[in-house]
Amino acid sequence: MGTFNEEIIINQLKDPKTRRKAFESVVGQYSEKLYWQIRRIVNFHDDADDVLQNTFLKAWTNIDSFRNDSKLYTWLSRIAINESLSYVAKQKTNISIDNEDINLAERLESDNYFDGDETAAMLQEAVDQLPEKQKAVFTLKYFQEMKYEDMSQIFGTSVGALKASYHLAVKKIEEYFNNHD
Amino acid sequence: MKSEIEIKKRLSEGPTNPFRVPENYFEDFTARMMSRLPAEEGETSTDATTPVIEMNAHKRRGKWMSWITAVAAVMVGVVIGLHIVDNNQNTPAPTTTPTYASVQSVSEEEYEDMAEYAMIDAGDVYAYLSGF
Repeated sequence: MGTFNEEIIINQLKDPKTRRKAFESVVGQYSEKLYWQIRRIVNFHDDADDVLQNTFLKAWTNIDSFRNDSKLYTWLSRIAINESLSYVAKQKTNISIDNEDINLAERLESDNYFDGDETAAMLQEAVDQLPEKQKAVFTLKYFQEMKYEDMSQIFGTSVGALKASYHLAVKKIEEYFNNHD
Repeated sequence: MKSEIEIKKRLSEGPTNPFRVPENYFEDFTARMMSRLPAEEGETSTDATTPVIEMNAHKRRGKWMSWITAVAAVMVGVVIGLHIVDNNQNTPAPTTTPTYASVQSVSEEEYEDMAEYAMIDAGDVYAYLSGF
């Protein structure tokens, strides 16, 4: 794959003749980064794969609504976060009675695609307890190390509000660790 | 009380990223994704004709089962309907119960009409019989 020039790609996305080829470059460029963002929220590979596909499908069908005032990755991140959160919310309402008593850390530790230790599993479980927006903010800041300014574009919220949300999330995670140690 | 730094430190002792993906997942993803994008208006690309998000096997099976159930229900309805019409036309009612022969009396043309009414063709039937 050649070098990725965002400006050229955005122009190609606007032209129906070059749109598909340009979108292929976008998928190649951002799929891995978006995947990890999604995976930290949904936790399991099959779910992350479904959400990632939904994200690109939604981006493709709404490509005309993309405006140049944000970066492509920021726009895709916003879709990915929304898709991940609604996927998890839907999953929680559909959870079977049999699985209700099995906590996330236990399910992760028995997952073939999870290599982490008990602490890593517990951190994912602690993040999973957070309210939706805090979960997304914590994931992007802590795991993805995204700047508050970029996050501000994704959430349409001020940097100050995001910082407050992040610190509240950290506090809740610390409490969770304290209560489960 | 454990601080965020302490939690980070504990995490750093293990793998940085505890998650793994199947082999070649990222290498194959772009091609897989592109083959699933719906075609745009006026687009002629042959690989763009399947606007389907990949579904897990159980979801796919569920979709086919409901489709098959719907078609079967229509077929049963049409057969019963034709049978009633056939009986009404042959009044007075026969003294014997309907036999296999009476069901067989539905001509090939009538079956074709039924299939057309149910909007299925041989291709659909072969697809179903072959498992997809």
